[in-house]
Amino acid sequence: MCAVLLVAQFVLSFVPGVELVTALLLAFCYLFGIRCGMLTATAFSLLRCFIFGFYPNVIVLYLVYFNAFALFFGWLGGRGRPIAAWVCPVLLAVLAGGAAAAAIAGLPVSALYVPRLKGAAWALFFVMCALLVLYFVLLAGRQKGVLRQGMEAAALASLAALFTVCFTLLDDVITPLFYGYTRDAALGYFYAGFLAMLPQTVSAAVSVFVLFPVLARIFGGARKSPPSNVGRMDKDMV
Amino acid sequence: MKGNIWKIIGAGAAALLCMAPLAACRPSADIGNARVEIRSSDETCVVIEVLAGDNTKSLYDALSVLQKDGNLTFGGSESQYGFYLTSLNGTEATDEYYWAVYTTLESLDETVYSSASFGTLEYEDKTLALASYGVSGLPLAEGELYAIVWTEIDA
Repeated sequence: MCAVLLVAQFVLSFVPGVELVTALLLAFCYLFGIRCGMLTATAFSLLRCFIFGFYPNVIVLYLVYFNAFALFFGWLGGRGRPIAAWVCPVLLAVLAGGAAAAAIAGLPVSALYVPRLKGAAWALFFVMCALLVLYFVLLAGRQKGVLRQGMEAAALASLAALFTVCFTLLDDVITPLFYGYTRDAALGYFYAGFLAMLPQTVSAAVSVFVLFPVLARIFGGARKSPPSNVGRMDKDMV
Repeated sequence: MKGNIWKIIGAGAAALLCMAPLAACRPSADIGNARVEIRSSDETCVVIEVLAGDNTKSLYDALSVLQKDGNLTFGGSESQYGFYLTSLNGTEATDEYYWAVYTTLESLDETVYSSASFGTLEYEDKTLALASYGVSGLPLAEGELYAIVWTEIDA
């Protein structure tokens, strides 16, 4: 799983704003639990340094964030009951409101990036609104199994979007503290972070919503089948 | 004889005086309403001064025009934070070194463009601070200096 995450991050590092690590790790933690999730998250956080370089602040950020991520989604998957119906609409409404506020009020980023930032904020707003509408449609017909899966995927997509926002916010705390930025420099770093955060949040929400049902099926199948070496050992013993 | 020597010296001095403005002439380019001039350019450092500003044009636009005119070469790729410069005047970024962008432009319209707490660079009698943005996020503000320097990572 760690190799899959590394390949996904490396390949998509050439495509700005697109990432699949969230969707892959989320589905893995949700189905394999806290222990497997945290082990994978820790291994991924450390091994990715061989590709992207060893930066202490980034190592701390990844170790804290992805272990918290694995802990939360591992716990969520291990509960054995669906996510409360109010969670998804509330999160989507908050994120849509935040995106609309950023697009309308504007942020003090480079004047040359304002159109790009507004575009990304509106994109996030429309994706969150679309998910919200879809969630209510699914909620209306939740008796059917397929629709329940869709609701679960939408709820997880909203949580993934929230976690992605938290990733940038955590970076806004760790990096300025690590390098000893002044207040103005830290604020500048915070606002510049929106340039990456908005497209990543859109990418995380869409990829989780689309890929979670597929990944859940793949990981679910892998979890049920016994490890191949166990079969060989049993056969050898006979 | 003595008079001839003085004539030769005088002619030489006159020739030097005539050539002085030509020697001081630096490569420059017009980008929109902005005008930039290369103060220095080699394999490890490029310094650009904005003689006339245009806040709708970026340092990337200036580099593009200067490259088109044959005054420098650069390369890179698009990233989430804009254009990421990976080579300049034939020198490629490595795992240990990158192209850092410094500027005298601290803030403009309540937006912070550089901070001394990121790092500083002394150039002639001026102090430039490490920029908050890459070359495509820095506007060409009048009178400001922009330096792109081959820098050791975590130096």
